[in-house]
Amino acid sequence: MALPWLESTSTIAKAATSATQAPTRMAFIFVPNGVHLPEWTPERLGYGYDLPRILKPLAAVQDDLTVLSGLTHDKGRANDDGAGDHARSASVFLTGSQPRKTAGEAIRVGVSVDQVAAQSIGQNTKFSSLELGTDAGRSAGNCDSGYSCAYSSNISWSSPTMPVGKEVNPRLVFERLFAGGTKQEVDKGREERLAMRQSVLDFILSDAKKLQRRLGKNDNAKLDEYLTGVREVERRLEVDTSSPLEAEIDYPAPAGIPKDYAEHIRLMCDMMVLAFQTDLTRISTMMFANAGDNKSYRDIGVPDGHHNLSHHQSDPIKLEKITKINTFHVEQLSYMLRKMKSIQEGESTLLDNSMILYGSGISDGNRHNNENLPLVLAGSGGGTIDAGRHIRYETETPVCNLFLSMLDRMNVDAPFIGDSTGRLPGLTL
Amino acid sequence: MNLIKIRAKSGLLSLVALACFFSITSEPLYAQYEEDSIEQLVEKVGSDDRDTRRDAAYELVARKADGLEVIQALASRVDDSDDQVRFLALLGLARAGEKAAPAIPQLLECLDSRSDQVRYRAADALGKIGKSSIEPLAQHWDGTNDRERRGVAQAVELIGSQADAEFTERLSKALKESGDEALQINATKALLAIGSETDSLIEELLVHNSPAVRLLAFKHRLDSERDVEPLITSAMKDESELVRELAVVALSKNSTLGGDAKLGLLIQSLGDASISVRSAAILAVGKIELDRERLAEELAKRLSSGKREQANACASALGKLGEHALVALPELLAGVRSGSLDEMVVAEPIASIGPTAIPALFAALAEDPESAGIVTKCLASMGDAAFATLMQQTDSPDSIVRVVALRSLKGAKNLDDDSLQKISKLVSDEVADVRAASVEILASYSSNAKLAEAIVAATADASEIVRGMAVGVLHKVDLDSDRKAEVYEAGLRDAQSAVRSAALQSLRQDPDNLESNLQQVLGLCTEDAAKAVRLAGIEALQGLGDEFERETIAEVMERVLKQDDAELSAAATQVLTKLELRTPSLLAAISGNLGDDLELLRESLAAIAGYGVEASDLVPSVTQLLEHETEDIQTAAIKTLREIHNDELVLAETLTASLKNDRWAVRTTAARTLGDLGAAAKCAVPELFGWMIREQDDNIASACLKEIDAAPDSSADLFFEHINSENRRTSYYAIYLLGKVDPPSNELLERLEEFNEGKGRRWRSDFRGKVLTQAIDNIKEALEADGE
Repeated sequence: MALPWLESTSTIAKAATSATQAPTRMAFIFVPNGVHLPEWTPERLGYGYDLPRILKPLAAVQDDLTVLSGLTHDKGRANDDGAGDHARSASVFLTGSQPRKTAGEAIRVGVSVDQVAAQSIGQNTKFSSLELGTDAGRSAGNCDSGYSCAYSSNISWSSPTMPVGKEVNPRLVFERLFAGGTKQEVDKGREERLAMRQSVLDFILSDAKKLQRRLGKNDNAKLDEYLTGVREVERRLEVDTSSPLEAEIDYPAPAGIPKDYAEHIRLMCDMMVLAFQTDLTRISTMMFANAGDNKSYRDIGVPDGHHNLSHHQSDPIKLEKITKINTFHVEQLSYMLRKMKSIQEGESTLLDNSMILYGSGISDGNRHNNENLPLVLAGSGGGTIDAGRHIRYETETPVCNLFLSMLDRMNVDAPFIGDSTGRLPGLTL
Repeated sequence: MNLIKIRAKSGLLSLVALACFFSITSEPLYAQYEEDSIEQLVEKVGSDDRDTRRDAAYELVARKADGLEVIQALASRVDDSDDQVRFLALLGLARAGEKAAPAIPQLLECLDSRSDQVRYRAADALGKIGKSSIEPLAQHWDGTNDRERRGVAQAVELIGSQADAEFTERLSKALKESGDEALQINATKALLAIGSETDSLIEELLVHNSPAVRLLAFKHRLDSERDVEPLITSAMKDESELVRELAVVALSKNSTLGGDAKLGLLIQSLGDASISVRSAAILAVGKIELDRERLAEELAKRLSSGKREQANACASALGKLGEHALVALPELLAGVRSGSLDEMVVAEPIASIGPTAIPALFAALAEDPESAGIVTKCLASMGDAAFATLMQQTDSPDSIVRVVALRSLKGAKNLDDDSLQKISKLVSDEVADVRAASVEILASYSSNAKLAEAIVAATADASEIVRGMAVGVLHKVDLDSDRKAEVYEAGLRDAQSAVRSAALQSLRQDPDNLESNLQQVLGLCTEDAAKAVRLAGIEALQGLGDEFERETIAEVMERVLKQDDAELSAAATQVLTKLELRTPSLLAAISGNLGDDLELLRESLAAIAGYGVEASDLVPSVTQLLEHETEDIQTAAIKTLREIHNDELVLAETLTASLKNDRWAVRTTAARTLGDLGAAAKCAVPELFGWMIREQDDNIASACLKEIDAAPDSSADLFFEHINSENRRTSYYAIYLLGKVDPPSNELLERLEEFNEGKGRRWRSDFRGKVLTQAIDNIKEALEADGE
């Protein structure tokens, strides 16, 4: 049974940390094609910076953010390998390693930070990690100037040669998270429930009632809140997958995903939040879209392809449209972070106890550069990060140094990762 | 296969995808080196073949090989011609730590590299070697410049205390004498890492010119000092806001300072001139160990005194104290009323108090009905927690309380049936504002038939405000279509123009009913006495779906265009463009509107563009607009000309003149349009090529040149002038375009071949050499084709 982290049952949750302290969670969210940096980067350093246009949707959680400027993924650069920046930007994003240029079988990059953590502490939870996305993408073939599609479609790598495929169907994630068991068992259980017109929640409820007697007042209120949340998500899944309009969406959509892209992202975010809330996993990754994605965003008035627009050549009209897309993505992030902030865990919140790194492996889509990457870290890692600031690092400081600092906060002992040279200073004052 | 076991054990979601992937990528994935010994890899890392070197270096680093022969092999590759091999060599040496000592000479040379990344990595490796690199680093320091000393200092920071004897004096001297701030920062970090700093040195660092140095020193002192009060007090006076900010954070984390001292410093920082420091202080209020009640009282006192920034900061800080902020509620409301506090700032702290604040808010409302706005904002910000209490307040005998309660409930998404029934009864309240506020809430729940009826009833309300509100939300109401059409019809006939406008605005979002009521809407477009209604009627037509009476609408819009009202004409023109309604008489009417009104001019140009070459008679009029005083009209004129011009060569000449426009948006629009014309625009190539040397325009120029993909023969000399440009991109395009000169000539071929022969093998193998070969081939091919 999946339940929220509760003070009364913290021993049940098998937290790696002390019994009264909520565990720290870590997630990485990738967006493709870089951003329009002048509308992303705050002018002022430190606290109290004005949120630039793209980050404005994060106003409600500004105190929980650390905007990180100046960090570099040197291995996303061509380094004598020529074109293919988009594929590199995704494969380097969490590995900090140079992908071998091949569209064939001999792919090789590096182990990603989430998988370093999953292989170290993943045994403490039911799922060692959770990989999510919205576009399945291809696993093989040439997707970007001689780079395998595996590089464009994945940010999570469990070994230098093995990407961890992501799940794009929120229904399947939900079933797996909350119904439990193997895929076959889940499928069977789902059929039975559909036949009986029962919800996953009804199954969960029977267990929850037994537990309620053992809980304190605070925890009971929390449990109610959580069960309401699960019911709401389940209801949205029912609505979305029964929609007859799926064929009208303008991007490849596996059966069962919502017709609305924003709703799709938000459902996947909900899955991640629920998985964290219930301590089913403490590590997750998500690709809002695959590298080099050329989806159009008609709902926000941008009928052009994202990738095409990113080659803006300083055209103000294109820049305006890119800014709109960037802002749209940040709005979805804001949705997730606000949700995490609303979930209490003792005296802190789920967001306080998390580190959510959001960003792109490319700075500017036109220049395809990999220094000064757009990155924002949300949450305070269980009180180990003095959030609310904009920090600028010296150029060429590896993003992997940030990863090492994040792994420290997850109690994962890693001497190095990718091209790291050490820990990132300044996260704590 | 271990991986598969791990994933299966944890029951991960991606098992299927992973299994599919696994079947595609059969193991082993990079088997070529799996059986190679370290010796073989060492040999291969010196191979002439780049990929062999890369794979061997990768494997050596992955295996963490650090034997002497490996170190020597990697050291020999730190200046490899391939970036990846060079990087792997540096990474391998850094990770070998002290065993990489034999590579010190090569690493020191890298400190002078042109690549930031190489310098950074080399310093990292030198530092990780440790003790053995101290002396060579010191010698290097003495014989080099500040730029390279930055790397030395970076390495010394990693070495730490062992570098004391050689470096403390050198670094201290650099801090005093160098003007290079990056070196000063690295030197400070190194000195603090060495750990032999004296009190006098720290005192010097605390007053150093560089804020970054002062910040490092302050942080260092905080970690070691027992009595931090003087230190924090002093730091709070620092001229750098970054230092003051750190002082505030230190204050919030310190557990040794007394309550009074903490409180005083915190209040002081809330009045700081810098928003960064004030923001840090606001956050600190939520974390600091202080009596919260007392803190709230002290903050409340500052809401009405001192500077506005401090008052607002204190208000925001109260928002971090939750229900303790209740004590400040009267001052917060008074501050908004008097204008000493910003309304936006005050809503958050009051909302954070929660439902406990509701009685006090309504009491304040009773005392001063003028505070209705801020009270509503605060109540609405409380969210779900306040809904039950607000519902109770809808029973109040005081109408303003009922209005405020209902308006605060506007954002409620999950009101239960009982609450909705209660609100639907308020649709017949004696006070119009209450009835209007009720209708606004019910609109969000309009799929409920009973509630829909309440809204319909409100469309016949005695008050125009209520009728307007009800008619304005009709598009959201789930109602039988005939019935809805009737209600709209009544709204469109309403005696009050505001209600008629509301009905039209709702119809714009309700295509089915817009079609049902179309005749009535069209009548209002031209005949209504109120201009606002006529405008709303025209704008409503934009909501039409695919099926409508095209001729009738075209006729009505033509009548509007002839009414000589710029605002209405612009709206009508926009409708014509949106609905793609085009007739010769409409075109004639639109062409008469290329006058002074900017909005109308913009819409007219967009509409004319839609006619394509049918509007070619308007080319002279539109061409004149290329000289218009506003940028957006000039760019719109370019786009329109592209659509309506019937002679691409003439258009290319016209737009080539626009490439000289001072306005970036205009000249780049012209450039892109020329690119779109392809070879017909080759007359623009010399001017566009001139853009290659301007950073602002070079990207656009290169893209357009590629699209045009041809060049006039008269431009060959220009390209030869730049063929050896230091800017490799300009040189590349000069060569590329020489291959596109039309018509080509034998003379051109000879000049290019001569140029090619004068270049060395290395030049020829780079990207310019390749494009030169291609250019020569192009010309030969074209000449042969001509000969045939």
